[in-house]
Amino acid sequence: MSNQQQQQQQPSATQRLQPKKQTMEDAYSPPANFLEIDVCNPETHGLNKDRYTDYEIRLRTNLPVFKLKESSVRRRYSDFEWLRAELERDSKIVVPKLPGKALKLQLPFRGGDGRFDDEFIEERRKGLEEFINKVAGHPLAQNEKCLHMFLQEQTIDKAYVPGKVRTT
Amino acid sequence: LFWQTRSQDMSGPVTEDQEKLLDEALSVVKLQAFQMKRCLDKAKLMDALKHASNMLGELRTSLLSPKSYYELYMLITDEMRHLELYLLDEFQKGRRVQDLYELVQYAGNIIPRLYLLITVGVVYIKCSEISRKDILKDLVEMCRGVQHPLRGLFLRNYLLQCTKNVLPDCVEEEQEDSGSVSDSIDFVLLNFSEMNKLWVRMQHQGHTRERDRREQERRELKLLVGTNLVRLSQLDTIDVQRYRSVVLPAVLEQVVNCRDALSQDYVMECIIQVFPDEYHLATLQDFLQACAELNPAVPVKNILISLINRLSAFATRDGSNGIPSDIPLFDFFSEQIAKIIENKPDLSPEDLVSLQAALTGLALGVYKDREDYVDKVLETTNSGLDKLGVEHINDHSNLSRELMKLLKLPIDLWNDALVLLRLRHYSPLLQRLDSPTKKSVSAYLLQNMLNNGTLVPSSEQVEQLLDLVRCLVADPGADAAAAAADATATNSLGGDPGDGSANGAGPGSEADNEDLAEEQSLLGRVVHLFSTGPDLLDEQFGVLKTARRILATGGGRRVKYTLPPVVFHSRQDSDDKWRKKCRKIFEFCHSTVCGLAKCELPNLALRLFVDGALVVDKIPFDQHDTRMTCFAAENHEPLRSQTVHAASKLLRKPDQSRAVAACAHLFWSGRPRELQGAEMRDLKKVGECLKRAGRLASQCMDAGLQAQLYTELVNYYLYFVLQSAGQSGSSGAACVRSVWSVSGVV
Repeated sequence: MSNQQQQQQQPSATQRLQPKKQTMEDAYSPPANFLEIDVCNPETHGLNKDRYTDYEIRLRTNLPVFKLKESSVRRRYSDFEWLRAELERDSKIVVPKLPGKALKLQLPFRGGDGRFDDEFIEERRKGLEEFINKVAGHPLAQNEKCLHMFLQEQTIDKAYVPGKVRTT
Repeated sequence: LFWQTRSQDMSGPVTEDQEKLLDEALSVVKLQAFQMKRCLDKAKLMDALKHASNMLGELRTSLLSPKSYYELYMLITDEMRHLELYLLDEFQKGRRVQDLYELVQYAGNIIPRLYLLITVGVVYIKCSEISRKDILKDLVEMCRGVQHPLRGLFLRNYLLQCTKNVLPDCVEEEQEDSGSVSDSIDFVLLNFSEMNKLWVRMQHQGHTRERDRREQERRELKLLVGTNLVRLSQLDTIDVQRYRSVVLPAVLEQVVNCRDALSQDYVMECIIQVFPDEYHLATLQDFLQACAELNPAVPVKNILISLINRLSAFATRDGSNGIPSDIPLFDFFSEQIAKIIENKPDLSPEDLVSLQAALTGLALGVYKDREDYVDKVLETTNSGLDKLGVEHINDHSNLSRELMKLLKLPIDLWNDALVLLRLRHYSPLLQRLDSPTKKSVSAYLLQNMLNNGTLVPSSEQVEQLLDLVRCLVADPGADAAAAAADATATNSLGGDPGDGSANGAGPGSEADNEDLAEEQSLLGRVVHLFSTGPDLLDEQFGVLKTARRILATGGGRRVKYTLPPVVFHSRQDSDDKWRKKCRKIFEFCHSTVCGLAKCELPNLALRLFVDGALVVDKIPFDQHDTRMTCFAAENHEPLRSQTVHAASKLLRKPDQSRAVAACAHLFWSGRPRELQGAEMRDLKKVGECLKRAGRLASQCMDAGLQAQLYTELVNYYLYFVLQSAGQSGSSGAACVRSVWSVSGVV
């Protein structure tokens, strides 16, 4: 008898589950996975041999892991190289490749502006934008201090102490 | 594997790519559909399902814009009909496919799986396999598996379309588990909430810079969401009670909580359009309450105006019972509008006015005899505009247009200008407009009066009316007080000497003059409506005096249109029994016409004088001697000399000549009272006239015309000579001599 009772009380494996009704808040709030990084406004600084180009890295997000919901910093290609190296060493992710260095373009007899050529800069900009969006979107990369410093601090302190970001 | 953030999810579709992508997808569909149908012909169901699955797989794409996706969806769902019909046929012939419902769930990808499940589920319902209630619940729940906004919206639309005719529509379950209307309501409401959720979520998909494009795409898809409400309205078993207690609260809950302006705007409008007006009347407070809780970006005024207009139309439709008396419709909306105005400090003046216009339309439509309602709305409008600090209303602005619309409503719907005069707040509102628009509305009112033959029976009302349309009556600043000061004086038409308009030769442009002519002739025609009725001569006279006084302030240009009607109108009323009154009337006319003459409108004045003379002549007095004698000598003389004077001032010499000659008759056959009925026969004066006419004729340039004039003069002379045969005197001889000299010239 008790067995029978037990059987009657036990739900069948294919019984329909009643889902919990979704709250209005959950249903209609903007999704919490908003992360948008634009690499834009390339500017070439300096003169002649000491020239270099940097880009604005503009970030907008609602992810809790980022301290600032909006930030804008300027970074050059070598900064990206630095970031890539840090992440490769410390995080467990397979870091995507950066757009190419401009070695071929820097040969002396080559015409044009070389690595300050508009077309080259635009190609590089696109590549950098793709790179940073992929990287910043990865939860494991989001744990690394170097990424946050790269994205949201005005200057990169290369003498920093590498480590993980403490989740609050 | 990288975590997908939103910005990477959906890149903006480029138009040329779209065409190519769509074409590719469509050709796959056509191919697979062909194969599917071929397999069905051969009764190879499993193979057919495989092809169907392939075909449905095209709907898994993320690359198509909503427009392209829609086209693809339409083609595919058309083809799915074939499958459904085949299955229905098989089932009805008793060839049930075992466990088909379970079978299709083995499809690998969720999109083909769910589309197939819906198709099969509906077949099961139509063939009464398994419980209808269970299947419906299963289908609407399963669709949760697709959370991608575009794909999810179309999937749920497919569900809605397929189940169109199988939703239970009865109060009680007919068989066990066949479901009742409550189940249908739950089904549709759940589908609606999920679709609204996906629709709202669409705005967050993709890069911030694409926001406007996404909003446009959302607008293109709004009908998908609205179809749920349509489906609810098609369930006949839903009555007012169920609507009020179950349906509307659930819908409003979604609308208010989604906090999305686009969705709120559309869904609220949809509710108004889709459900019957009786339902709206029964749920007015709930609906209006929700309106107050909407996102500030929603143009609530449009929603309100929609609702007000719909209910007005409902109440005034032929055969309708009108609004139930226990629903104070006007008060509800009045309050609601006031609340909106309070809560929206940035409400523009034209929005304020258009809201009030809708309310006015309601008052005029539903509560036609409540003048106080309309006046109240006008009062609110006025004070609302004051609060917003509106001073000058630019002629071509939206505000001007809206205000004009509002002011025309009472004119059109009452067709009785006298009611307008009773509204205390109509004129202040009208005066806010800029001159051209103000004139336009005033002219509209006057035209309405003419069309409806609205008589103005009292002096007071004439004054009110002319005050209302004062922009037509006089230039702003014309001193009405100065004109009023000499109300009975003969020379009261001062006009505005400063601007030269009193001379009638103002520098206005051609178009200006035409417009003025039109306006004033309108005003002039309206003068004929100033009528107290046939027996009230005293009042009538008073009315016309008032009219003249006010119209006189218009200045020379206007007066030539507006005063003659006053003169004519007053003449019409001369009652031959009232000799004294008659005299007063003629004095009145005389002074008016003198005034006109002063304004250098001699043509007109002359015509009116002569006219006057004719009228006096025609009045059949009891005593003959009162003909023309109602003027005492002292009045007739000025009349005569003025006539001559006016005649000589006519523009063209030939006219002058003829006119002066005609005046000779005045001196001949006029019968002043002193002579007791005998004709004047003032030969001397006659001679003078004719001589003068002769002089004028000699000044004519055209010899032929001159000749003609002289000939006419000879005729006159002969006539008088013959008439005066028997009268001796040098005058007579002088006449005869003149005849010979004139004919000599000829």
